[in-house]
Parts: sequence; structure tokens; C-alpha cells
Amino acid sequence: MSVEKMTMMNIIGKVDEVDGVLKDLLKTKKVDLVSALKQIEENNFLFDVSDENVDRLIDLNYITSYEKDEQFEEIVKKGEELESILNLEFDKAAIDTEAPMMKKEEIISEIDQIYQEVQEPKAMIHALEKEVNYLENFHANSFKEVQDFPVTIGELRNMEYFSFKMGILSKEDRYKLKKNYENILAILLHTGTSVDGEVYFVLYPTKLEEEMKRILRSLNFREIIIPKEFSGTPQEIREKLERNKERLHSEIKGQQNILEEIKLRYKDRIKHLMDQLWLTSRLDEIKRKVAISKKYFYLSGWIAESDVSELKMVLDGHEDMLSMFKDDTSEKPPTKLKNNWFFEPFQWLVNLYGTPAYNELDPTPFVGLSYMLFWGIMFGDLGQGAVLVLGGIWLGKKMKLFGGLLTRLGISSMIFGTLYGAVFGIETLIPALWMKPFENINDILMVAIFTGIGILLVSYVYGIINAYKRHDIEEGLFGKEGVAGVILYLMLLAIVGGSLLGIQIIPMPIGIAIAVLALLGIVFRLPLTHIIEKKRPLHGDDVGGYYVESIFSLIETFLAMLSGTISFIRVGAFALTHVGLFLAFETIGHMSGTTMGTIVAMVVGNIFVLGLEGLIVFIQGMRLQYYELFSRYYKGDGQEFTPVSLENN
Amino acid sequence: MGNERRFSAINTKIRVMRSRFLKDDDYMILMEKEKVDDQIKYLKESTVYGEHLQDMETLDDIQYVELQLDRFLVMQFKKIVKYFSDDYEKLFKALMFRYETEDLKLYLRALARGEDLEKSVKISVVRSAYYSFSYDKIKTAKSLDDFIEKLKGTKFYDVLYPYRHEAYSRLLFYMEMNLDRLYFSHLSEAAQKLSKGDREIFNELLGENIDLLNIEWIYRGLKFYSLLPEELINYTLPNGRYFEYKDLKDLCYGDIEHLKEVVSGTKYKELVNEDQDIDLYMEIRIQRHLYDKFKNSFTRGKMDISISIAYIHLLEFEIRDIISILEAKKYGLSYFETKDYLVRTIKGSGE
Repeated sequence: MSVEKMTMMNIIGKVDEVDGVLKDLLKTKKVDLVSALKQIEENNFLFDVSDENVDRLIDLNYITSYEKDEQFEEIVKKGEELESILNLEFDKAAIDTEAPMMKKEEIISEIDQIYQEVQEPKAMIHALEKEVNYLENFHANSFKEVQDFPVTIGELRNMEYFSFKMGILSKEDRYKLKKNYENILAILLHTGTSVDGEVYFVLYPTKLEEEMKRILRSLNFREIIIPKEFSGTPQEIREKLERNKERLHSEIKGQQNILEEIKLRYKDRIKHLMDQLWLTSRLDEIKRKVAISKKYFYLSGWIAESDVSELKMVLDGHEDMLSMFKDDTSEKPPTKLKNNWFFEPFQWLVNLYGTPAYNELDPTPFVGLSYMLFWGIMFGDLGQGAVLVLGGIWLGKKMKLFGGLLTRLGISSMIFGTLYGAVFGIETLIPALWMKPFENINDILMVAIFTGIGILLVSYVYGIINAYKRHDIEEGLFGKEGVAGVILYLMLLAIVGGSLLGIQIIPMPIGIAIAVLALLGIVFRLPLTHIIEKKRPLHGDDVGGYYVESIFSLIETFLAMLSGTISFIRVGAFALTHVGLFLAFETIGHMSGTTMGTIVAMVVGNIFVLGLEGLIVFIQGMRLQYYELFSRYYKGDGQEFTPVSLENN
Repeated sequence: MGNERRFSAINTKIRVMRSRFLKDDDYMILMEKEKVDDQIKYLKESTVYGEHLQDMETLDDIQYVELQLDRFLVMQFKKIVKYFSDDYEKLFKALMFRYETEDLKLYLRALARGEDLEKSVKISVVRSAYYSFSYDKIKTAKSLDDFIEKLKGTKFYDVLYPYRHEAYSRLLFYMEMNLDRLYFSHLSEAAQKLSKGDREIFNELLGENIDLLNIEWIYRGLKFYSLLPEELINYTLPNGRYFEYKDLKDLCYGDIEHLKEVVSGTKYKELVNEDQDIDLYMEIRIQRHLYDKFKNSFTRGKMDISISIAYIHLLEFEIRDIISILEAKKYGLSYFETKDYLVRTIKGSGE
């Protein structure tokens, strides 16, 4: 339930061990790598100089970073191509990370070898398929639909005074031809329909060859050349085509068998090589953060302090490793939040705003509790809460955090539903354990305000602790969200609230005196801080400007306290809206006069309220968190801890 | 969508755009200038086109002026297209397709001359990014066969494919004929999707345009080209307004005198008016006929597609006239001779 303590890990190892070490570190998923080169340049990469490591530290002067290996990227592409040629599909999730790493050269040469082996059958298949395609196309375009055509093409070819052509015409051109038949000295025979248009057979006197050609061209006639080998009747040609196609298909099959054989022979090997390829390229990617010299590699990364011993063990598995764990660097560590299962979903809400800084309190538990409380008050309904719980469980399968959030909100709804005695908007089914909001309007509004005040006070405490952690005296002691602010707020509550409720919480003069003191603290916060810190001068350059700003910020402070407190009235108001909306639907139902009408109205009402009001309440709750509360205690300018792993990018 | 809503914005916009056209005075001033340089200087300094001629260093490059004006026209097109959606947008894109076709012809001609296509793209009207084909692909073409192969997958492929082995000398003719045909069929197709009223208006405009082009084609075919009547009729455009297939066929299988006789009995009789040389003036007469038609649309000013279509064509005629004036000056034609070659009638020309 906190921000984990981080430590910086620096490692120096032999350069040929780098892959193994990295792989082992990645497997732990506990290291957030940073650029080692940057660490070294900024002198954060510190080791004690001793005899045994002096050599490594001298080498520090000759470091570079890893370069992207373009040749290797090509081989990755080749590997993927190989996968697709052989119809192999490997599951990226099932990569074998345990196997020892192969050398790049070995992977390359092995992949190349298999790749070469598949090239011949692949090219053959390609060529054969092209031929089949051609034949099929020709078949479809020529004699497919020709039935009564007893003459052989050979005979036609041998005619002395007549020639023939075959080809395709578009619809528009065919129309033109039809309308002008009487002027064309040729016999035209429609022989079929193909995808490209209508197929015609044209027979004409050889003497008119030139004219015919010109006429046909003006019609965009796309000639189909009948291959020399075909000389029988269309029927015979068709049969021959079929035979040829069959032969080609069986040849293709043969080549495919060869590929299948290769696949069978190499399948496991290819899987292994692909895993290696993938791992190597992933490591290459990660290695860009690693620095190297001739003999050594240098690596830096953030780890949680609780993981130090585990990582030390991992490193001990490698020879000649030198490691350093260091808590205090000039850099800000990333934030690793650690929350129990109950509060984990609320981390999502917090991260949506900003990750806590490393030295900031993790607000997640507070956010979780307060958010559930608000939600419950606003959306208290046993039945709808149950729907939310079920919805959350179902959603949780896909979106774990959001589903979890919904479940918890649902539980809160159910609890308050029991307290309010409401089930699916029906208020008469079960008795209220606490009260019916709509019958106690003032009470529910008061409850909302008091809850808000309580929550606000907690957030002041958070703010003060955060300031303390930042060693920020000015904000922590004298800030309007610091100790002075809290005192002022309490006094105002006591004075104003007391007079509203008609009870004296604190004697008026004392209350006012304390409030004025707190105010003075806020106004003079800079000089006061400087006195405590023994810094001079007391003010910055612009003394007048400082006080003008300071006094104006007092007005803002008062306003923020007032509006912040009243803001929580919405929590009560929404509890009323919730009931009010149902009342409206119930009325509509009664107006229909039938039981069926009432049921329909209530079902529609429930859907409407669950969807629309649910969304509004969700947003209002977020608004309260982000604007009224976070602004008082939370900065959220940290950087999330993102451990590198083999899987993610 | 109702026509009021569809056209109220664009028609207003077009009226403003049209008000920037040259006035008769501008034409007269242009024609009266002594030299081409002065004319271009006037265009540059005193007309809406000046903005597009700012890069000119020397003031004698008529070709460049024409190119810039054509590009201006395409730009206007793009502006207008933005006002439309769906089938109307498609129609205007189909109209724009013509300029793409023209550019393609440019590349074909360059290829025939064995020139580098890089040179042609510099004088192309449409920016290559807007082509429906890939300029980057075709620019590397080494031969015609290659060029056509690289157009595969576009509308152009089918119409050019049959000619890929043709000798260059005849080929350009065939290809250009087919590209024009493609443009018109594209346009007819797009027009069928318009609302009823607009479809009728557009079909009338397009139909008359097609009639005129067919008449011109047959006239020239009979007179100058040794084409078979079958070829002649096959290259005509379909969907004419008054001349249907059988009328055109009748012209194709007849002779010039027959054609003149038939045409003088129609509303296109001006085309074969013997007062002036028919061969020389046929083209300009066609344009005059269309010009009058489009001008009429503006005068009527209905809330329909006619205004936007008319605007584009009137702009085209304006550009044509400007270029004619420049060319006329270059070849030393007189004021009155120049007027004869203009689409529009300028005051005092006696027509």
C-alpha cells in the first residue's frame, strides 16, 4: 500500500556475457533499464576503485552504445517469409526463452540454408500456378460455352481465302457492332461470356485482313491468341486444356509435397531458429540502453529494493560480474506502486491523473475508500449494485482493472442500498437500515457535507505528509494546504459551523485569534520559512509583489475552502436525484394504469439510470477526487516503473 | 437533399468567383497592346490571374501562361468540389478526370518522343498526387508496353491495352481517341446518379457537346483521314442529344456534302456555315455554341447544377480566349483578325 523503495543497479560484465545476463534480468521482469551511457556521462555510474576492477573502470573511457544491426533485420524478414512459405505459424507467446542463445552468424547461416532449399520448389509452384492461371483464363475466355462447333481450329488455320480471330468486346462496343452488321464483311459468332466481356469468333475473307483489323481495333477488340498446340475442335481443345490443367495440378502437388517434406524435416528447427531470431532482435532492441567497451558491457536500471537479493542471485549465476546497488543518485527514481488486491483497481484512477512521484505518498487506498464512499451514497441500490458487480466480473475478463473497479463500486452500492432500503429503485421491498434519502432530504445533504469535511481533513493530512517528505517547509507549515491552512480551516468550521448549528465549539475570541494567526502565517510564509532555514534575504527580489500576491491568494484560500466544502453537497444531491429519477419512471408506469406498463417503465428506468446516471455519478466522483482533493495534496508528477521484459515493447 | 440547400452556398460563391472574370474592356486592352510582353504584364498586374503569374521572369512565355491558367482552373474545380458530397461530388470529379486524361496524353506523347517523363510532370496540369494512377510507377516506364502494364488496375488500362504493340505514329491517335471516349463514358455514368432535374440539365449539356464533337469528328474523318466508315462510326461517342447512332451512321457512310446538308437542317447549322472557312472555324464555332449555352445558364440563374457546370466551362473559354489573344499577337494578327478567333463576341466586332 505504498510507493516501493527503489535502488539503482549498475552492472559491469564481460562483453560476451551480455546476452545471457540481459536475458536473465528480463525474465525477472523487475528491472526498469535506463541508458547506461547517460548514467556514465552524468557520473552516476560509480564504483569503488580496487585492484580487481580497475581494468573495467579504465575501459569506461572507451564506451559506445550498441548499434542497430540492419543485416539482422533482413534475416528476420527472411525468417518470416520462410514461415509463410511453409505455412507455419508459431505462437509468439510460446517462445522458448530457456534455450541457450545461438550466435547471430549461426542463426543467419542456418536460416539462409533452409531458405535456399525452399526457393526451388517455391519458384516452380509459382511458375506452374501462373500457367494454370493462363489456361484457366484462356478456357474461360474462349471455348467454354461453345457447343456446336464441329470444325477443327487446324482446318480453319489452313483455309486459303479466309482467316479468323477470336476476342473480347465490351458491352458498348458490341452494341455498335450489332447496329452495323450489314456493313461488315465477316461472320461473327458469339461464343461465350467471360469476366472481361463477350467473346466473339470472327471469320472473314483473308483479302480484307487489313480492314478487319482496323475495324476490330476501333471496337477495342481484345484478341485471344489460340496457342499453336491447339488445333482440334473446341470440344477437343477443351478436353486437352483439362488434361493439361490436371497435369499441372499434379506437378504442383508434387512440388508442394517437397515443401511439405522440408517442413516436416525442419519444423522444430525452424521454430527454434525463429525463437532465437525473435529473442535476439528483442535483446538487440533492449541493448540500445546498454553501453559497451572492448571487453565489458555496462548496464544500469532501477529495481525495487525488495528485489535486490533476488537479482543478486541472478547475477551470481554469471562469471566475473561486478554489481553495485545504490539508493541515492541525483536522478528521480521511477515509482512502483504496491497495493493489495482490494485497492489495485483504484491505481488505474490514480494513474489516469498522474503517477505519484517517488517521494510522494501513494494516494490509492485513500482514493479507493473515499471514492467507494461517495459512490455508495450517490448510487445506493441493492439491485443495481448487484448488476454492477456482475458487469464488473464479466468486464474483468477483458479489462482487469476497470472490471475490478466496477465490482468494488457495485459492492458499495449494495451496502448503501441496504442502508437506504432500495432495490432496483423500488423503495418498498426492504426496510431501510439507516434512512430513506428522499424522506430525509436535509439529513442526507448534511451527511454529504460532513463526509466531505472529513475527507477534506484527511487530504490535508496527506498534503502535510507529502510536503514533509519533500522537505518543503514553506508549503508544509505555512502553505494554504499545510498546517496553517488546516488550522484556519478548522477554526472557520468551528466558528461558522458552530454558529449555524447553534452550539459553541470554541469560544469566539480564541477561535478568531487562532484563525488570524494562521492567516498571518500564510501571508508571511516565505520570510518565516527563510528564518527557520536561516536563509537571507528574507524575501525575493520583489517584496511588494510578494505581499500583493500573498494577500490576494488569501481570498482564493477562503473561496477554495468554502467551495470545496459545499462542493460535497453534490454527493447528497445525487443520492436524491437517484431516487427522484425512479419516482419519475414509477409515475410514468402508474399513468399507464397496467401492471405491464409499470414493469416496462421500471425496466427502462433501471437501464436509463444505470447507464446515464451511473456515468454521471462516476464522473462526479472523479471530479471530486481530482479537483477538490488531489489539488490539496497530490502532484502526481512521477514516472511509472516499467520493467523491461521479453514480451512487451 | 433539396436543391435549395445543395446549391445556395455554391451558387453564391460562384457568382463572386465569376465577377472576377475579365471584362470586355480587359479583352480590348489586351488586344490593343503592342507586344506579347505587354499583354502578359497586363495580365500579371491588373487581373485575377496575376497572382499565378508572379513567378514569371521573362514575359514572353505563352506556354507557361497557359499552363498556369489551366492549373488555376483545376484549383477552382477543387474549390467547387468541396461544396458537394456523394454523387454530385463524383460528377465533379468525373469532370476533373478530363485534366487527368490530358496529363496522361502528355506522358504518352513524351514517351513517344523518347523524352524523360520527369520533364512532362513539370508541365502537367493536375498535381501528380491527385492522379488515379501512380505517377511514380509510370515515370520509370521504359517502353509503351511497360507504361501500360504500370497502369494496371486503373480505368486506363483496359482502353489502352489493345494498342500496346502499335507503332507510335498511329498509336497516339488511337489512344487519344480512346481516352476521350473513356472520359465521356465516365461522365455519362456519373450523370445518371444525379437528381432527376439535374440529370436532365446535365444530359442536355453533355448531349449537345457530344453531338458537336461527333459532327466534327466525322467531318474531319471524311475530309482528311482515310478511315473506313466502320472505323469512323466506331469512334463516335454515344449518348448524343439529337444525333443518335443511326443518324451518325448515315453521316459516316455518306460524303461531306451530305453531312453539310444534314447539319444545316439542325440547330448546329452554324458549324457548316460557308461564310467563313468551315475547316478553320469549326472548332471555334463549336465552342461558341457551348459558350452561349453556358452563358444562358448564368442568366437564368436557377438553383440547380447548371451554374456550377457553366462556371467551369466559361472559365475554360476565358482561358482559351486569353491564350488566343496572346498567340494572335505573337503571329502578328490584327485586332479584327484576332476577334475572329475568340469564343466570345466583343463589342464592335460586327457579329
